[in-house]
Amino acid sequence: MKKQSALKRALIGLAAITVLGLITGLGYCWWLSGHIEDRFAHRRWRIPSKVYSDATLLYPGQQFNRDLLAAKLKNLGYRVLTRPARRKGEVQMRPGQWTLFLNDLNLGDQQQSGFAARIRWDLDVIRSIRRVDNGRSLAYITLEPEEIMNFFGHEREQRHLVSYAQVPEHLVHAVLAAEDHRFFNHHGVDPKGVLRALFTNLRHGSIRQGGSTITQQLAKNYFLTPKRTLSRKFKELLIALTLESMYTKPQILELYLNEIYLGQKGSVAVNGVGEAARFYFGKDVSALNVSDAAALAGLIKGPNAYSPYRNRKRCRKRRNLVLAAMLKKKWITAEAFEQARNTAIVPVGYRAYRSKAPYFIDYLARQLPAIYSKDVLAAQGLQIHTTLDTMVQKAAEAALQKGLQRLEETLPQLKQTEPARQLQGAVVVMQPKTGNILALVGGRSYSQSQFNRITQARRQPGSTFKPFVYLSSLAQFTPATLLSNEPKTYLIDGRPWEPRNPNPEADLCLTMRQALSQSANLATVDLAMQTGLDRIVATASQLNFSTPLKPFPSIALGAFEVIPLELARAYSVLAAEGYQPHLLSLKEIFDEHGKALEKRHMQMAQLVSPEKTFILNSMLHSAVMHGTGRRLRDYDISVPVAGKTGTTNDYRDAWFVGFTPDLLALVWVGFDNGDSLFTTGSGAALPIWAELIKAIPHRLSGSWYRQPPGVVKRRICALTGQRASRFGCPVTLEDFFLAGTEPVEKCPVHSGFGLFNRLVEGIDDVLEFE
Amino acid sequence: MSLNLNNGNQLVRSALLLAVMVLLIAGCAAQSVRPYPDEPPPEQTPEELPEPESRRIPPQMLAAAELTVQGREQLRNGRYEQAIRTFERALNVHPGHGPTYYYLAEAWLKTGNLTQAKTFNRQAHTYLKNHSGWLRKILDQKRRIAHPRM
Repeated sequence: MKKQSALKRALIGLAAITVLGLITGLGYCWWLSGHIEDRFAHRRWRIPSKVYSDATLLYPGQQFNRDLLAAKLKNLGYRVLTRPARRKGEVQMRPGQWTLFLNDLNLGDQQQSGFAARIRWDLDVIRSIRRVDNGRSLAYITLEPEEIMNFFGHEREQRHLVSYAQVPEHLVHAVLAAEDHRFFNHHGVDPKGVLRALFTNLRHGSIRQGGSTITQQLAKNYFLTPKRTLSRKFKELLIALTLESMYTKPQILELYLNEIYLGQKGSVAVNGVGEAARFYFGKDVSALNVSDAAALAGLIKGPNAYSPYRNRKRCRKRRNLVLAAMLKKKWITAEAFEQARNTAIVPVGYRAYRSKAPYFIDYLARQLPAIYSKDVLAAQGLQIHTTLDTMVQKAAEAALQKGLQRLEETLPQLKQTEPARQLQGAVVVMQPKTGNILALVGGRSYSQSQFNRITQARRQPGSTFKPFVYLSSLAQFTPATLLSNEPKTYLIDGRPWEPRNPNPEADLCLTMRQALSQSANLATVDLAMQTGLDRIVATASQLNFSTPLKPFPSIALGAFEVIPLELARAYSVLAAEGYQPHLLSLKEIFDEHGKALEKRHMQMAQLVSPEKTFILNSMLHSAVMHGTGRRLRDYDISVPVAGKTGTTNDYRDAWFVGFTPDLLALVWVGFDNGDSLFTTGSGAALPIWAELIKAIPHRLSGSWYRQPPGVVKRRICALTGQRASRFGCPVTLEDFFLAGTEPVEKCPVHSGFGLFNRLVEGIDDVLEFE
Repeated sequence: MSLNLNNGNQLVRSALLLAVMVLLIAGCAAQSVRPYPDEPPPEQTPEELPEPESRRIPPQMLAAAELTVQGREQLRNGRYEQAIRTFERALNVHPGHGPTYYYLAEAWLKTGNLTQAKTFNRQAHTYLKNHSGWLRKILDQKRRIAHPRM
């Protein structure tokens, strides 16, 4: 009886313990389910926000730089093939004809599925673009924006999320074959696997084998630390069971395929099959073939040990094991197995992560904290679209590097061994009529100096400021007004100041057009004094220079400091026919679902009349044709250009600002510490500008400014600047005037007083020969 | 008398015309023979300025025009934000394409942003004021911007 009651008590106790254990286990699972739901209800992964360039349009008639376009396609991940392009992201390049299978395009408000297009070109001009499928001629095609930077958090993970529907069946089978072939038959835990692992571990006296299912691996990676303990293993089991009760198998598999670590791209971890497909094979996950899929699945066991970038032979061996497992499960046919097994593994190649336009990104990033915190940028997978044209950026970087190296070779005294003291340069390229910043290079080497010489430096503009002196004077004077180019002494703060001309043999009297073209200092100061210094200061303020200007005569020669970007923006008023753009680097921000969060638009403000800018632009065109910028003619630039050189005291700064109606570029060369360059703006900055412009024909239309109705053209005497006498004036030329300011009086020197002359002049007047 | 007078007037006219022709010929001769042959040619004359409008339609203009057509379609369908982006894209290809500024002003007007509408209407005026057809449309648009409820 006693024995029976003891047994009964023991059984009751055992039952109670079991019930209690079950209740505790269920309670724990219930708590876990809340925890899991909580985690999954919020952000599942930290996805770094990505910065993209602008989209690129290609159209018939467009000139293009073949090397830059080929490099761009490569950066966009297009694979160059010898056979015709059949899938998205493929390109076949034959002489005179490129066939491009465009990737899908998503610009928020513009979506387009990829299609094959045939581009025929000749002499680097696109002659036609046609769809391959129906032969239809196209007015343009759009290349998707290029990724230029990721805002990584501390974890430095790169992940391209994919849905279960996007994953091809053979990749699912490959992963199951490699990791958990009974995945669709268990409930999160595979007893057979656990027993096998337990046996192995007991035999070795330590944990050697996990026997983990895919659900357990997900539980471990997503919820637990990598530490191997029995209690963690127990938790892993319970989480796996809970996950299985909460989610469907495809949902669990989708989480797993996006979570797994699959390799290392420099300092950045590659996570998930979406990112890995791009990293190893340059393909979208949906485009992976059986061999690719098996190789990727094989990587899960040891992403770096089996990486095709590290050991292609080992990778191939592991892939073949996965293929064999797939065949065994009858997930692939014997034919598919043979074909995949004999396929070579050729990784697409990669460049370790590097921001493509670091100074531009810094400039952009300075505007972002006002909108988004660093943590949001590092986690929320925003897509930040910018105005950057990567082809222009690349051309600007190359022209600057080459130009500075050439200068150091020509003038060896400029070469400095210490990086901090090296010769520096900076370039900004913008569209004056939209305000889009197309390229920005803030220095010679971002890794050596992050100081942005376009947006942060304050340098004297020298003669590049002169156009604004002439602009200020156009209400009172005309391009034909004669200016004194004789030495004079001016008082600045009670001290005498004697400006000098760079060319001491210059004429003592010049027209305004000649003075600006030749960059005559004395004549410009004369003009500034006649115009009124306060008026020039007012013009500078109207053009939005933020640096202070004092009404000293020396401002006429640019003897004060400006921020180069502000100088470029002031020139854009000339280039955009009187309108100043609000500068744009950011265009749009989308969240990870493609919803627009932020949009920036073109904003223009009219500051000057188009009549005045037309006249000034014609004078600046003269400056590059015959004046200080005439060296530009050596570069055989096919489009009309206006521009101005600038050199400051002791050759501390060399500038060239040049523009067309389409494009404006500013180049600065100098030393950070103000050492002498021993050369001028024409010698140092202009060649860089010229090489840059020649490299980006796709941005130039060759158009010029139309003469506004308020501007008249008159023939004048080249010596007196007065209305030309038909027979008297030895040298005449035509010039532009604001209507109402054109010279009315005949040239007093050459008109003569004879009866015949007066008769002729009278008839001339009646018949308006001009 | 009157006949004589008329004859006299005709004579004076003919003499004047003859003198003008002689002078014109002389003028041409005077220009070809320069009194100072050793002097360098005059510098920086705007005569060498490029022609503002080439006879050939720039390819940029064609691409921009195509985009502008798309933008107008979006405008017609009430997709104003999208139309604005498309017009901006057109100007990115060809920043001097005057009609696009007109339609951009129209799109901003539809969204109720009169400041932007006014700016681009003014720009359209700058680029198209030589085209009487466009000028009428632009001035009409200007009135609509000034009195949006009309």
